[in-house]
Amino acid sequence: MSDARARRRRWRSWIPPLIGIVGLFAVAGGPAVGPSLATTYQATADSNETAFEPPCIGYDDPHPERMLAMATSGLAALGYDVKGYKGALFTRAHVLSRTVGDYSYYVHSHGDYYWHPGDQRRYSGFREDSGDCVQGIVYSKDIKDRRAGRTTNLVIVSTCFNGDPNTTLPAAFGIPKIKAGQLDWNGPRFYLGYLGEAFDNDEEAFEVTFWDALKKGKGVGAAFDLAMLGDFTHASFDADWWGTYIWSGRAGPVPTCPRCS
Amino acid sequence: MPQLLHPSFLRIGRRSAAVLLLLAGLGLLMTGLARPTDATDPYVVGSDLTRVTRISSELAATALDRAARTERMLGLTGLSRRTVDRVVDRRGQRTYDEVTGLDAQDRPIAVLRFGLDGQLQAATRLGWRPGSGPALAAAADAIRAAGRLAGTLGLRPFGTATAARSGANGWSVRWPRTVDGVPVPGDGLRVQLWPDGSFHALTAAEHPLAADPSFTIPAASAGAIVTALLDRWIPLAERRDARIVGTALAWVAPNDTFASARPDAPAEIRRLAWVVTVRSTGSLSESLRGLEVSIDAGDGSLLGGDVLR
Repeated sequence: MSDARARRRRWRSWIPPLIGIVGLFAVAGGPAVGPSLATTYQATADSNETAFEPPCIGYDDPHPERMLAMATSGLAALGYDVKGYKGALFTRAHVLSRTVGDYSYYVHSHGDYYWHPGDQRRYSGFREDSGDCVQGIVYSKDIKDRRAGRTTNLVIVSTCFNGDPNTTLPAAFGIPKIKAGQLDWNGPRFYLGYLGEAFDNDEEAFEVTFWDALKKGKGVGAAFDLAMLGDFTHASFDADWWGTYIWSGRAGPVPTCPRCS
Repeated sequence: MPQLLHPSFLRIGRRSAAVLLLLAGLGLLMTGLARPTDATDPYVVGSDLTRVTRISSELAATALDRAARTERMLGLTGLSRRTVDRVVDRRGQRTYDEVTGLDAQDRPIAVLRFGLDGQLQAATRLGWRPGSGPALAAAADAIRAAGRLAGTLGLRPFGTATAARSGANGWSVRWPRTVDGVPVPGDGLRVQLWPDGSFHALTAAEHPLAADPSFTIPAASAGAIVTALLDRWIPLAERRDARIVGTALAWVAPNDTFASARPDAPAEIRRLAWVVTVRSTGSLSESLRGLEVSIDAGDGSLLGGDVLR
C-alpha cells in the first residue's frame, strides 16, 4: 500500500467521530424549538424601564428588566422570533410598527382606561417608555387600526386595569372576550391581563410561574391556573384571560397541545 | 467464524467510542455538575424556577395515597392515573411533592402539592369549568362553602374571612394569616370557588418569621424615614405629588425593589416592618401610582417594598 493511500485510510478513520462531534454540538447549541418556527413567528416584548430609574425617579427598580427578561425567554421557548425593547426603543411608533407583524405581544408598563381627548371617550391602553420621563399613551384603538382585526395569538398585558371586564385591548388584538374551556377550541389565541390595580411583586410572582409552566409544556390555561397559586401579598390581586384554555401557546401552524388539559 | 465487521471498522468504533465517552463526560459536567442541586442556591431570573429531584418509591407511594384521599375530599373526579414529582421551588425556597392527576386521555386535570411534612400547600382543578349548579348569591355563601371545604380537609383557618367575586371566574375566599394581630401578607388560606361553589383551587401558606425585634420604633419614625427617602427619590418638581397615606405593621419578605443589587427572589423569612403606603397624584401618577416602603420595625433599615405603576 502506498504512503498516500495509507494516510487517506488513517484520515478516513476519524470521519465518524468528527461527524459525531459536529452533530453533538449542533444539538447542544441549536434552538429548543424547530428552527423554522424561530424565524417565522414574530413576537415583541416591551417594558417601561425609564420611568422607574434615575433621573425619572431616584432608585433603580429591577422589575421592568426582570419582567422583560422573563417574557423574552418565555416567548423564545415557545418558538417565537422575539425581540425585547425598553428605554428609547419602546415608543408608541415602535409598538404600532411592530404590531403589524406580531404573532405574540408582551408589555409591562403603566396601564389604564385612558381618556382620549380627540374621540372624547375612553380606551384601554398603556404608556410607552420613550427613554424620557414624559411618556405617551398607546391606545387600544391605535393597535386595532394597525392590526385591522387580525388575531394576535398570545398577548400578555402586564399593567393595571387591562384584565378588567371593560378592557378594549383584547379586541384590538383580535381576541374576543370569550373563554373556551375544557374541551372547547376557539383557535390559537390567549389574552392575559390583571384586574384593577396590580403591584409589581404580585405580577412578577404570577408571571414567573406562568412562563415556567409554558416552558415545561403546560397549556396557556393550565399555566394560568398554576400561576394563580402564588403567594400574592395583596388580597386584591387578580388576573383574567380570554381565548382558548387548552392551547399550547406555541408558535407554529399546527396548534397542538398534547399534554395540556 | 465469519467476521461481520472488518477490523478497520472496529478500530474506528474504538476511536469513536473514546471521543464520545469524552464528550459524554463533558456533557455531564456541563448539564449536571454545573447546576445547583438544592433550594439554597439563589434564584436568578432566567434560571430554572423549579427543579424536579429524585423521590423514593416509598415516599412517592405515600404522596399518591395522600393525593387520592385529598381528591375525594375536594370532589375531584375523572382521574385515571397520577404522577408524582418532588419539586424544588428555587424562587419560593421550598420543596414539595407535586401530584398530577390525569384523565383517561392522559390530560392533566388536577395538581396537588404537599409539603415534606405532608400538609396540603396547594391544589387546583385544571380547566375552565364554571359549573352548572345555581350560583352562590353572596359573599357569605362563598365563605360558608369555602369554610366547609377547608373543614373537610382538616384545615382550620383563623380570623375573619373575606370573599371577592371575580366575574365568571367565581369567588376568592381568604383567611389572611395574622400573628398577634399583625398581618403576614401572602400567608393564610385562599380558596377559589367556581360560581356554583364547586372547588377550583386552594393555597395554604405559612412562611417562617424572624424573631420579634427587642424594640419597635414608632410609626412616626418610619414615616420620617420614608419622607426622607421620598425627598431623595421623587424629583423636586413632583415631590408634592407623592404623599404618605398610611403606616401599618406587617411581616414582610425583604426584597430588591429599591436596591437592585439584592437577590432576585424575595427572602423566605418574613421580618416585622412598618409598611408605609405612598400614593401619587398629578403628573407623577402618570407613571407611578404608588409605593409601599417597608421599614424594619426594629432598626429602621429599608427592607424593600412594592411598586404600583
